[in-house]
Amino acid sequence: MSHRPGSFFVALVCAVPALAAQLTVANPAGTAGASVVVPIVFAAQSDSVAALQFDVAYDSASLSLGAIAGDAVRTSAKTLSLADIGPNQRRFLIAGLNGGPLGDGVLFTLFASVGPSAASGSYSLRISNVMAVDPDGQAVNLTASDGSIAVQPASGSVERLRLTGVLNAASLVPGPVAPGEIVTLLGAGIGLPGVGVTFDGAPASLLYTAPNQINLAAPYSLTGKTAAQLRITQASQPVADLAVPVADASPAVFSLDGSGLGPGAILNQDANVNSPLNPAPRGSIVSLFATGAGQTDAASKPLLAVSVRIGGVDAPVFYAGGAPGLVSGVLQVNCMVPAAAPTGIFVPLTLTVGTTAGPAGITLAVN
Amino acid sequence: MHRKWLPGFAIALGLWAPHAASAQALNACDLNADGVVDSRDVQLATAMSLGLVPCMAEVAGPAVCNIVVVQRITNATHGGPCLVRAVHSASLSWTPSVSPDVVGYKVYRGAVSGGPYTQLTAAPVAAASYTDYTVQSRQTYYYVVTAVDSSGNESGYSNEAQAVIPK
Repeated sequence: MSHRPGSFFVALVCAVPALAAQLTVANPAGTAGASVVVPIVFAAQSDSVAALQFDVAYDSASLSLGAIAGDAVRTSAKTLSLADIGPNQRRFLIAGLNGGPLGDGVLFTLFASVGPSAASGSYSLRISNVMAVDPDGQAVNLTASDGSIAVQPASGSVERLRLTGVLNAASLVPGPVAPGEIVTLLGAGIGLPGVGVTFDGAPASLLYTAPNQINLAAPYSLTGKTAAQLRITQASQPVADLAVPVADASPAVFSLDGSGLGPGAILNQDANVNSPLNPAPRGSIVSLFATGAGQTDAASKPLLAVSVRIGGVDAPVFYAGGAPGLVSGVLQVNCMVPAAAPTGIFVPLTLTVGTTAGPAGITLAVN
Repeated sequence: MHRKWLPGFAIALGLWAPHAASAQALNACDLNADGVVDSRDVQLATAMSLGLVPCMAEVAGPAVCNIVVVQRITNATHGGPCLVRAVHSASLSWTPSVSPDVVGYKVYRGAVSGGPYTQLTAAPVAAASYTDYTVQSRQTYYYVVTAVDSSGNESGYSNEAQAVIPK
């Protein structure tokens, strides 16, 4: 473009109030065939921003983009929605039914899979159509800077998979893998035909594969370990190796929309899906579905204690174990909505297994 | 990016005067017209803002669907009024290029006359008009447009138009 860096910087300072809310897109580097992680960071500065949107234009012939909500979205009880609005353009929208302000931090992480034949060079992530709104519904200023991915010639092995791409399939949050946990792997070209995955040589059950994604159930042989070597093979040949941390439990409740945020995958006592339009009465029993509870006994019940809090109030648990009809690794928990629980359509719900609490961001509708 | 001047390209920008009428029109937030403003209307507004369904909202301007609309409907679900007020905008229009291979236009905006300018449209827009809904109250903006041909070549900047956004 015609902008000179020096003059662009000066104009930006003049044009924008010093403390306007800001979006920053990272400029990482990677190699052809590799996975690159691009954090998108939000800083409210002196503004109060309840929701925002923007478009990212990118070279879809060379890059495949996935997005995982970050801490700023989770802790603010917001959700991330996205859609392709053109062949090279994706729109991101972050909003929350609570209407409150958005906190600072990583809004979401773009997982960019660089095509194996991508030429070396800089691939722009151009930000446009940036809009933000305050809690009162008034548009507020939000500045954003473009990002880019520097694709460099590969030297040695290509990093197809990173720890940031090893996610709990329910929360889509990276972290340690628990025995039996349903895990989502995001990485460049990892899910091609003939794929297999092992943890310290023990095969994982593959549940879903796509070119840049694998969903699997981790083997229960991880029990007692603190780390394991994850290997992805294609036609029995290793294509990715990664040392991953292992924990006794890494719990998370599935969300209704699969994003890992918002209303949980929870059934009310009448077997209807809990939702803002179908809240659960206090005192009734709800069934939530989760993963990452770790080793189980012969009856598919977790060895570790399972507890649930709804709106910060302990919810008595009547059953925690395998979910009939669902794959091994899915935990069903039946618990009572406490009489003292707050009412609302987005009451926070947390699941704890052993001493490990699941990530924030799952809600239950209570009346 | 290489730029070439495309003969015949000119621009004339006009500003739409944003209105500031406020109303307590609950029905404007009831996007699905079921008589109640609830999370389904928020979901619908989100889908409209993402372009997944046609935009039918009249909350922040006629057929405007964006995050402002989503937030206002969200607020209405909590029992608040449905704020119906046009978001300030600047409507731009220009004389189309007569060059046969022009496929679209890129719109740029700056805060200082003469630039530098920031590109507003990540991809070229085909029409010879564009509405900028991202303007802020009490700000002054300077717009220019370029034409893009089928090979991706971009013209130089058009003449500049100024937009002064009221309070």
